[in-house]
Amino acid sequence: MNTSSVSSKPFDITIIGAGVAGLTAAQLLSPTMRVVVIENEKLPGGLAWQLGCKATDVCLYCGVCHGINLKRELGDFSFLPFELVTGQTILAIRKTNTGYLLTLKNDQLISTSLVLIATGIQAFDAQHASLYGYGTLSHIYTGIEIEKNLNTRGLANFAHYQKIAFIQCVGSRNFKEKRSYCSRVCCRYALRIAEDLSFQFPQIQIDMYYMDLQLLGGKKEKLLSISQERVRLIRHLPYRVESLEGKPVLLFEDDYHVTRAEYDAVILSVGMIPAPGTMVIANTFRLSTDEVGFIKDYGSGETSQERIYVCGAASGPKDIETTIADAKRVAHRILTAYLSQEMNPIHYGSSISI
Amino acid sequence: MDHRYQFERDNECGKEENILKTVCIVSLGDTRSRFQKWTDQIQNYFPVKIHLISAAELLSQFPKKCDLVIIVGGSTYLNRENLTRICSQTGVDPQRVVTYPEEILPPFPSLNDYDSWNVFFRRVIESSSPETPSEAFHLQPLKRVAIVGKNVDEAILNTFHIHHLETIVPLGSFTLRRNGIQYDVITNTEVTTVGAVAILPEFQNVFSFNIPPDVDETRKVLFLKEFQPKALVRNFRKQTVVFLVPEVIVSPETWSSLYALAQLIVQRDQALVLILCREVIVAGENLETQYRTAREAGVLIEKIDFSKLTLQPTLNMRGAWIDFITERDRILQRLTADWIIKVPGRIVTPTDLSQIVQSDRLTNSMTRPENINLLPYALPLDGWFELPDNSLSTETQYAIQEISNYCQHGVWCEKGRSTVDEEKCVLCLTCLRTCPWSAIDIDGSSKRKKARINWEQCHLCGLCASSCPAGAITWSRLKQNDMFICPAEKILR
Repeated sequence: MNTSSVSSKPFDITIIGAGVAGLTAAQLLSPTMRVVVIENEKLPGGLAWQLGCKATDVCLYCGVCHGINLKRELGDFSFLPFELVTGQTILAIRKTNTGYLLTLKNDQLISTSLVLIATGIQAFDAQHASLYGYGTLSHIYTGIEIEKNLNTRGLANFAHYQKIAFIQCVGSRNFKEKRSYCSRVCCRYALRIAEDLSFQFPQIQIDMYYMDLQLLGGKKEKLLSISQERVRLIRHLPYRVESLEGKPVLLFEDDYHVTRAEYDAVILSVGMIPAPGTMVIANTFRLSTDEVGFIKDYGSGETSQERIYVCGAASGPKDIETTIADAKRVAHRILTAYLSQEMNPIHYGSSISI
Repeated sequence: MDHRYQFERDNECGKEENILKTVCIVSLGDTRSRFQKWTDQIQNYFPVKIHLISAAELLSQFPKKCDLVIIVGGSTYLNRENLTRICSQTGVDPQRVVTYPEEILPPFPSLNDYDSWNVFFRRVIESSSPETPSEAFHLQPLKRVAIVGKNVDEAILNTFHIHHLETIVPLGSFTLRRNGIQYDVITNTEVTTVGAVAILPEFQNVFSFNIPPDVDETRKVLFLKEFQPKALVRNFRKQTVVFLVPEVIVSPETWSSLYALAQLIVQRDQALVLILCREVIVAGENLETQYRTAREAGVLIEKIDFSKLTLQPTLNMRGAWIDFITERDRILQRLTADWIIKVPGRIVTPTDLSQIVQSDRLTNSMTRPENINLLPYALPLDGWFELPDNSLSTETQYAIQEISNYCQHGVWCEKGRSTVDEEKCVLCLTCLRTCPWSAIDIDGSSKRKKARINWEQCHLCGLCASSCPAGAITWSRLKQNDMFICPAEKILR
């Protein structure tokens, strides 16, 4: 139920975050354990439910529909096999000898044996990469913006563009800014967006400025063929984007010369950083994180504190399919570990989730 | 009384039973209390007995016998599997279940809203009882998995056992045959039934750069796999080792071991190590850190154009001269290499299943189709899965988790919904090829063969019926959309 008050009986597990990872884990754990899911936003779903399908006339295996399928399986959210609390955050915790006492923002107390963190990731805010002019210059988009538009309004303004450029690794692989990791998803989503754009608007020419092409996950061969046929790969990142008559111009430094390339639009492939919830929760529960802020997963979802688990993208950037699979894996681990030790979970009676 | 609602008893098609039909209306979500007034006004027009229950009361309050079940509110969220599940758990004939297509039921309905509902209701009530009964079932496959492949890793078998799944690895020659929802593994000596089949992929190494034969003769050219054990025991002091990676699709595990090995040789032996590649993989657990520490240790990593790379054996035939142009500075450089190590990419060779599977579906190999409705790692045959790797990587663990979920979850299916007309079926095999779940077989004696739809694997998508050129396949009451007139249409008329 979408309620902000929750029953006062003790729960077996609290799941923090109602994104695809949290909801998948809740779905798997609720037949046997008493589950409550706490979400900060007013609506559940997280990042994955805002993204759009990038299929052309064939499926491009982006994984967005697995998130949508989850929505369908859970029905219309008024009859859930677990409790869902939206619009609430955890202010304080107290460790007891059987678990944790969590204090919510509305001063309610939740008593729980276990905690599962599924707070996820967010896109890097491209305004921080100030030299690329996002937010100040026109015709500059981010990859996440394009995906959200694919989900809602569509991309009608791209019909007027002839030449566009992708800039990869925005916000990732930046050693100086302590974000030296690779976000793993940007090369793939950029190639899929490129394929979708050139299918919808065949007149568009696409240049992709990149460092290293990370072709991972399913349908690598399809991605490789997109990278060879649909886009022109150029291994050079611009140091700055300026504006000339309203159109973006990319500037490159090349042996003390500056070369320029003009485009009608620029898409910044932003990387993934830990969601604000991830950083706050890691602090509240005093979990060890890596230098960026992702919660360290010591194998099978265990964190540095006992009885606290982490799943999904909160432990490292992942695409949607991998996030769901990770949530299933950690949920299974929780079930086997705690049912075998007979922690007396309160059996929630079986019910049909429609 | 509005003539459109006039219940015409003559349309009952010769039914002798009570005209009073029992209708159970299941209201999803919070709509139950709101829906009460809709059902109350129904009773003014139609002689029916209505039970209105909410989704939560479905098991406990379901009437013992009813002629029709209508599901209202949130109906687009009801996919086929959920409907079948409801029918199976309440024991209702799935042909008697209809969903009201309106998504949102307004709390203060106008006359138009009542109108659409009543017209819909009339259509539904007037339809005759289904000719042949059908039933919904829940089938649970055995928790035993057959693993098809060569050299099955112990670790993979152990992971299956942790998930409480028995495994059998059929050796020698064997065939697999469909047996309801399960599969029979038939060897020369015995027949074992399994609930699921996991196919281990066979990989082929791909190395697309040609090493000239005279360089090969120096015997200093090795694949990475052969080089690794040598590197652990030998010392390469003052030597130059060059790794060639001409492929773009190389697994992160290979890159990880490459970084580690290169760094070892540089630090332990003070050798010169150069990796020539097209792309570098840094996406993975710790991979970026490994990449940087390898470079900081002194490993040289250069991206080159492999079409400009040339190799020549040295005069004393103890190494090779390598000429290459780096992308970075575009200068032709020559290096003398003592060792040349080939790092291949990997592609999956499709497993030839034609020798193994007894099925009428005419594909030799099963590859994951472009059908997003299948479970992850599932092949287009219920219960068959393709493992992504033949060693226990994280992805393989995910796949094994899916198989375990499948065996635990079971399958909901309906029996008796479809008929294939023998007279009309011309054995064109279109339905066989169209079915996304390979649920169709060719059956019958040699004189009267026809297509048979296996109800255990059928997911009731209806594609076979719509693609059959002879119109031989009929589905009982699968399409319900034509029963409802949208209010907008009525206004436009």
